Amino acid sequence: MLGVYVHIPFCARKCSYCDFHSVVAEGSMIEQYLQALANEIDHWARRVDGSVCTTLYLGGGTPTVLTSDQLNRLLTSLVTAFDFQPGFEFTVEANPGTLTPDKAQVLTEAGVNRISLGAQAYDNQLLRRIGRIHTADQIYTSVDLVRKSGIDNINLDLIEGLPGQTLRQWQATLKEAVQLEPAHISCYSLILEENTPFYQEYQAGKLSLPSEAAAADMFACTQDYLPQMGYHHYEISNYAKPGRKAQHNLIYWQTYPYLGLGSGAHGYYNQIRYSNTDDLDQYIRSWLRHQPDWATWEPVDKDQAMDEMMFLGLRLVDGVDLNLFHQRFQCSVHDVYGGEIDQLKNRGLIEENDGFLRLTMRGRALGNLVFSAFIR
Amino acid sequence: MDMNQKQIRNFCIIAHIDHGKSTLADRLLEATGTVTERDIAAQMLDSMDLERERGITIKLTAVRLDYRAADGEEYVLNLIDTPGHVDFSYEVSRSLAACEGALLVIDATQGIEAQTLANLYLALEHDLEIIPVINKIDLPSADPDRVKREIEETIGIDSSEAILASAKTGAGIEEILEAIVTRIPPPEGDPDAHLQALIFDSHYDSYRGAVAYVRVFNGRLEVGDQIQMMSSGRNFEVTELAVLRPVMTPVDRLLPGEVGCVMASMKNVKDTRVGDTITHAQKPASEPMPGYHPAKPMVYCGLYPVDNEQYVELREALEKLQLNDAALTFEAETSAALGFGFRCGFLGLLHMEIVQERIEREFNLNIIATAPSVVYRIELTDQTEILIDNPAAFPPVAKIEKISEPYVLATIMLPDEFVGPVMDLCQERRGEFKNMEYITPERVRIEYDMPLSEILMDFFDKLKSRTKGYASLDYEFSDYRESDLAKLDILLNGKPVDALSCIIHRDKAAERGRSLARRLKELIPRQQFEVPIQAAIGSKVIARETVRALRKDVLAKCYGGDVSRKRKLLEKQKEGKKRMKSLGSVDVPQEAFMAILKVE
Repeated sequence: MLGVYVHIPFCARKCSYCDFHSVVAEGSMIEQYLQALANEIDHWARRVDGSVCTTLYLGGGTPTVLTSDQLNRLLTSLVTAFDFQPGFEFTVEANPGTLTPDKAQVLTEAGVNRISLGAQAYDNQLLRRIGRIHTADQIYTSVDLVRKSGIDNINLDLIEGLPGQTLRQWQATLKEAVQLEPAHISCYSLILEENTPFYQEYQAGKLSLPSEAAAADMFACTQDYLPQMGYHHYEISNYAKPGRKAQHNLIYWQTYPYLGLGSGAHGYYNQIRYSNTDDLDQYIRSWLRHQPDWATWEPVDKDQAMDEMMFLGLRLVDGVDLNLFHQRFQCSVHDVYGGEIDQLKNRGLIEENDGFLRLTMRGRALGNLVFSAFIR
Repeated sequence: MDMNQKQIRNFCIIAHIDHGKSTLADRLLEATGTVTERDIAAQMLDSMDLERERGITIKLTAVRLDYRAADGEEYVLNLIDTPGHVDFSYEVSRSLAACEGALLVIDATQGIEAQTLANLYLALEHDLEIIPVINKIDLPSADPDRVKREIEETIGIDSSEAILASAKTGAGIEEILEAIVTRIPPPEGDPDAHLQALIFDSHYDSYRGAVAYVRVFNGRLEVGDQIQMMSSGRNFEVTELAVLRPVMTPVDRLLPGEVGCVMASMKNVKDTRVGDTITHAQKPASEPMPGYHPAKPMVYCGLYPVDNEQYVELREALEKLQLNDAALTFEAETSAALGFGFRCGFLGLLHMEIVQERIEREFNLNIIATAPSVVYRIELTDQTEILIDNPAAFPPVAKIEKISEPYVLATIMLPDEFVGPVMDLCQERRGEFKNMEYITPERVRIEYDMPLSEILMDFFDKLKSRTKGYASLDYEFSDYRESDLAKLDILLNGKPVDALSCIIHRDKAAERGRSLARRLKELIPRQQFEVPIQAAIGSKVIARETVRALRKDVLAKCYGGDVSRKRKLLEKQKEGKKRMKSLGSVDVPQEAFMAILKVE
């Protein structure tokens, strides 16, 4: 297993809640970036030569702010540089409003078979409030466009707990999303992050977020509703129709290796977690000279690898495969976390059966209480 | 080469916190060339981190300064440092006993403070020559004339003898050094008499063991001598003698009047009790130096490891601290809520806080401290008397005949405009007015008899806030008095938590119970289950609050492949939990156990 993640740090404009690495691109910057990225792709392709890559994910930012030509060059270079297994999952993130028929065609021709659309909400007022550039209508248009171009594996990203959002509004959002019959739905909670316009508004007392009780109601409502509509709840925030789990994201949760390419991207390779510099100019300068420039570089020792397998694996509804744990570390999960596991079981937050350790229904909403118990 | 006793001057500096003692000491070290590099350390005498952060001196040291005076003679000036807080008044008294004179440093912008006065009285009891120094005269708000008036009014010293100085600019430093030589008498003492060396401080060094700082009064102390500690009768062989200039410099002997440190393979500062006298094992002196008494704790609290498995580590930490701190006492105790821990005795609140911080900082242990308690005397119905320093051990009401609690005489010095609010505060705290005196038309000294337990309840902070920081406080134990006290219990989730119990005056019980329950509600974070908080006296519940259950706490943001970020967030959560104690299914933060001190 080896995933490949490629980061496109450009957006048409920044959303009010987003603290991911991206900028509003100007001038020749995108072209320079793509050249630097090409050098990084080349570097890694040599390095992992002989390994079969299992997934490719182009995320951002907004990859679809690239022109058709730019997209074409990038995607073609990626599929030629790495050795992907036949039928591999190839995802591109797209924002309604930036996806054109031209671009959709480029994606299909390059072999993209999964599109993740940042829908976020279905209320124009709310979309404006959070700084999105698209309208609700454009979500429908984009979904149509993607389907017409032959890609039926579609994910819709939704955000719950937006400013002023009520439970009723959230239910309407879910309903709208389901009506589009995407293969996959991700429901993320709004997290107030420093260095975002929302944070400033919050500091100034101008942002009214749903209470913890309301957020808990929304979370519970999602868990009830989506499975009823045929979406299997397989990770804290993720729901999929049968056979449509996000293979690339599963790599993260199951602590398999992945490359992170592009500025600010994170990777996990050879038991090392690393991240590229998120200083865009610096990234471009370094890679134009074929010089890696890592912001962080952290070998993961056995203990840490165990912790990660637990707190990431427990995000999955199936939980952590205890045989796999044993196979990886040559010891039982109970030898390492016996005390914590017993306590969490007693508190009704986790359960163990069929060789898997997993969150209970109650544990899902209180996941951090569980995850943090596995940090040593 | 033995030095001439006539050329020695032993002195200390008496000053209030922030009145510039450390800076003045620095200047003296520089002016005498003892420290040449300005930047060796900003404040040489305060060596512990904590001391520097709090701006106070906890342990004493002695520095030897070589000074060529105006008369052309070489003098040895021993500067003996003194702690500046009420908790350490016994240690101060031992330092003073090692000196013939004292610099009384007063901030020209502030005037004399309560603790300064208390220490000054101690100095006068020891017949010390006092040299008043009015410091910070360079500041625009300096009012040296007013301070001179205060000096004359309060201590009756001719204020024309006061030296105007600025430790910051160096003004008056030469004058101070000359005054030390000319006004302070040289030490007396007979080198041929039996050895009497007073221990005025000690510290534990991991290589040398306990190091005693001494002032020799009579006889000679030499390397290789068999010495005896007069309080315990224990014998040791002197392996090393040294003076501090300010680094330890070995010497062969110490003669009468000299100040230095003694190393004798002593394993513990219990062997080098402050105030004890060292003599020769073979030819002991007939009498020790007067004034020795073992430090007596006034304030007790329970210290518990957050993680029960760290019990042994906590004991080791306390043992190590005790090596350096003979005033600290501890014995094992158990709490139904907190498990195994220690009942620790301290000289006062500050001493307690310092010990807690050192355990957390230097030994990296997470501890729970229960609210401090005084020692109650309880007469039982069967005519026996017991001493209780832990509310959890309070006997059932039916068995109590009467309860007495320690009272102190509190002396407060303040600008007269704040007298009203401060008297109100003292009344609220069950104080009994004793005396009020105008030192100058603007400054007042008031005295109250007060229960020590009321002083523990955040009294000093309240005093500061009601006087815009201008009041100073000193107190000393006076006696035990009968009081109408009751035990207030706190129940979490319906179960009494012994470590949250406190003993309070019955008139205030209901009000304190309500505010304590409210305060706990703020402090206890929401958790998996609802947590009811109740305050009760006996079986009567007087207040109830509820911490609602936590419903959602999960990372549900798309962090993509950024696992490090997720881990950091979880680590933070784990750290937060580490600082909490699990009582059954309730996680209680450390602050909760001290909450009673902060309620209105």
